[in-house]
Amino acid sequence: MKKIEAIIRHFKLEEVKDALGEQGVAGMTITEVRGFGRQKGHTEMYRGTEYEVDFVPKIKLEVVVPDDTARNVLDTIIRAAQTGQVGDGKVFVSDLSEAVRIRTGESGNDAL
Amino acid sequence: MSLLRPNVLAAKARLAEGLEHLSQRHRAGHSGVTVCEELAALRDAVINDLYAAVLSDLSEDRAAGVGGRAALVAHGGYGRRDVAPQSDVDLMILHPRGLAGRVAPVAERLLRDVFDASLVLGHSVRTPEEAVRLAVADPSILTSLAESRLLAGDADLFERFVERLRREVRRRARTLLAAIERARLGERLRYGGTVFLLEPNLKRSRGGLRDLQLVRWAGFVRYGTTDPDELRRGQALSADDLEVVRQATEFLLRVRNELHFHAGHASDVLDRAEQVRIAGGFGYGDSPGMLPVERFMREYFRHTGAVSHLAGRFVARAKTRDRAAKLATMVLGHRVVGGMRAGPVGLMATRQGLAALKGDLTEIMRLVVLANLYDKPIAPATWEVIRREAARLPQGTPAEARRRFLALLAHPGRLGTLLRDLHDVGLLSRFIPEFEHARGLLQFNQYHKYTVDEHCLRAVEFATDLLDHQGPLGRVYRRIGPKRTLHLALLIHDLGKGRGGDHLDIGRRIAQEAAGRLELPPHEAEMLAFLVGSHFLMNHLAFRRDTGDERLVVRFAVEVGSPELLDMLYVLTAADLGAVGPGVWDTWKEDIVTDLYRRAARHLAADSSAVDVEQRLHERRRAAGARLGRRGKDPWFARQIEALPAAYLLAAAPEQIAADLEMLAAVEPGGATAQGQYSPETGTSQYVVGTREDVTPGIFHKLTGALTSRGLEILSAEINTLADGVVLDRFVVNDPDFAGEPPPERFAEVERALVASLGPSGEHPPAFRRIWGRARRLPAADDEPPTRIRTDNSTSERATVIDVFTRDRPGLLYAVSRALFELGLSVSRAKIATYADQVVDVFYVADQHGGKIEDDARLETIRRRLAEAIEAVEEG
Repeated sequence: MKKIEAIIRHFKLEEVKDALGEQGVAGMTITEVRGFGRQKGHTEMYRGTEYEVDFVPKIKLEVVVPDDTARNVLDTIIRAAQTGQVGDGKVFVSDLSEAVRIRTGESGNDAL
Repeated sequence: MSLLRPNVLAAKARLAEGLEHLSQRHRAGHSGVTVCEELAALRDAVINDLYAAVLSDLSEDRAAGVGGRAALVAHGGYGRRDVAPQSDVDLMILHPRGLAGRVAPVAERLLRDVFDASLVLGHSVRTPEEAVRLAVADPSILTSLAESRLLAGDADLFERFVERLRREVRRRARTLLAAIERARLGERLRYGGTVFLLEPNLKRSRGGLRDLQLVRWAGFVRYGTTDPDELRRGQALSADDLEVVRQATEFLLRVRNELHFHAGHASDVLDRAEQVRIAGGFGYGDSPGMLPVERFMREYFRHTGAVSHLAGRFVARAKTRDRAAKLATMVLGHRVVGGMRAGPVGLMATRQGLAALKGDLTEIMRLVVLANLYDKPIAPATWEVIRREAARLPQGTPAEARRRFLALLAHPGRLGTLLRDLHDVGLLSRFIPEFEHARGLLQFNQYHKYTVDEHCLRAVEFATDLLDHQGPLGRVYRRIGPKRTLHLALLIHDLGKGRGGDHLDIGRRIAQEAAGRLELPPHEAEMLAFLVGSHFLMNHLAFRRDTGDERLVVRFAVEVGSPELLDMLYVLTAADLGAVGPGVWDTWKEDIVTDLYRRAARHLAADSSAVDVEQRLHERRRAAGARLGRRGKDPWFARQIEALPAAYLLAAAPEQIAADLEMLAAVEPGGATAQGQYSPETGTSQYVVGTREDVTPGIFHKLTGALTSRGLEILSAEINTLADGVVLDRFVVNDPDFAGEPPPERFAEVERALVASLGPSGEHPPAFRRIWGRARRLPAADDEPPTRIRTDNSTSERATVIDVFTRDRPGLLYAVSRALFELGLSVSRAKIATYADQVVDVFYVADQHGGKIEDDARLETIRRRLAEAIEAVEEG
């Protein structure tokens, strides 16, 4: 199993969710987060006045998928979340040792 | 093989059998109250049998005299006989002093047997004195014992106990009522302070069974009885109130029976799945725009809403019957204004005041407006009179009452509470009839936590709470001038729900009707309709679209149209989200919405006070002064630096500012100067013009004429009026005659033309050159916004702000500036910007006397003339 964590632009959530739905990914967890990468904070000029944004609001999306579909899911997220501009986000993939469905006690891929 | 004694096993079987039988009766549609009473009777029979068996089983000397001298008492819900299938059983063995030793083994056996018979048990063994002492010390014991009922044993002992309890409780009525109410308030807070929770707890949420019990308990403390019928006979409850109690009891008990029968355990939470199931099971059908579950829950909210009010009123009255409280009001209270008095419990009507309220909505509204202004609650007794009157008011809403309703909306005070009060007694719908349909209307999705009416009221409260909010939202809310438009929009924004069709469209229509009914001026009516019909726009864009896309932001700014409306939409968006449920509006969402607000605001006004940049501006001014060296200390320069607008200060480098000021200093009275410069990074030229205000009328339009007639495309322009009538204008232009940097002769030619346009020869209309062979504009998109012109008097203290949105075309700015000039308006500041082919122009204008244009008809003329001027510049 792989855990895929994607940090994406907040307004891309619907698109990513829909795209993953089409891939058969049934569940996901999302969190409202803040952070910065190479995009850093930026200084914006509004009505001629500047203000600084330190941490940019983002969405963190987590899905756990069987190994054989991980690549597909990863590509889907990237395709749906891309705008081509700095600040599109990142995806992290890690190996997951176990998953258990609390209600039934099923584990491994059955729990996904 | 069971270790239980046969009679306990029999009791258990009898209970199970009886429960099954009652479950069938419940399913067959039997009343909730009846099923509960029969359940109570079943338990009575079982427990009495067990008790008798215990007494006869125990040896004569161990339990001697217990049967005759002690009493078995049911209390709590069991005493009250509203026993749900999975309710627990509260039992007390009451005994005279000296019998404790012999009662103990009886109690022990009985408790074990009752428990083994599968009932969940609460128990105690007390003398009457002990029981009363505990009751007056602890409201939860008091309220349980107030429902005492004799099951078996010594009736005299039981009567003596009840009499004593009644007496002791009455002596301490005030403290005990307060304690009971406090305990209930604490519980309500934990289980939802509003009636309109979407997953309520039947027992503990506001208006639930507990509030019905609260009436009984307050009745016991004050009037010595828990029975609503007796309270009615004693005039403590009105006939209407008694009916509310009966119907709500029946409804809630029946629903609770259903929950218990279905779950098989004591569950009082009406969650979504159960709502759907019960609505179907109880036979609620579909109706247009409403699901069965929505109709069912509306019924629930109707009952609980009524109960919540009745309980609040009943307890308040039980409490304020104290002569002491009445006396305090007389002494402390001072007359506010005819017929009203401000007392410790809030605003109350005097006898004459009460007489005036009768049958007169206008007078009632006067009291409500006063309560808002003084930020004081309306005293419960006075409000009770209003509640009674509300049902008897003559049809129709007098014009003066409508005006007072508008006056109420203008002021944050305690607006939310008062609107809720008006809604509770059905008076809000006198002004906005659609509120009746929204009453208790469920929004059946995972997202909303409140019913439509509650959501709208909460949205108003969210906004008025912003009065003390630190941060951009608070700053924006505080500076919104016509707050009543915003408050009205919040109140109406979701009323289009549950009517079939798009709730935004329906809402817009409701807003238009409300504006007509309340006789709002046309300008305000238009704003209201926009805010209601587009209340989801900003939310949608902020969370679903890329707001880094400048074109999208411009489109949004154009659609909103004025800084004033943007401010309101910003607060509306936050309040709408905040009123969805606790914790929905967080700083993460606030940042995202605020970001869009700021991006859009940039297009609608020259600068914003929403962002605190005083420090930064101060530094810029100092830097510019330093560049000027000794001259920076000169009073003239000091004044000019002080007068420089924020936008210019932040955009231009200190060297540039110093150079511009040097240039301005050299301008003779009646003269002008211009300087052109090429910017290789953007491929555009910039012209800075310095002059004096008095050089000629219509400076701005003459300069745009000069640039346009030289074939230059004006991309942006900035008009700044500084101190002593000094004018500093900056134009960024594209020079289509030259690819790359234009030669110095070109700059000299344009500079001469600019200066000349302000001199005597500038009176002639400029000659426009036709530009052939160039596709001047991109093909029009189908969804392209039409030309829109908006005026706004709230953004600037001294000037009327005019926003113009249209498609770019040659000569446009000149036509607009000339129209402004011909209208006799002087432009003190302007910001011209072009995005792709969309033009967003902002003008700060004043009339000949230097004042704002306040007259609606005059504003209408201005908007019309500008629109005509723009239409006349068709496709060059």
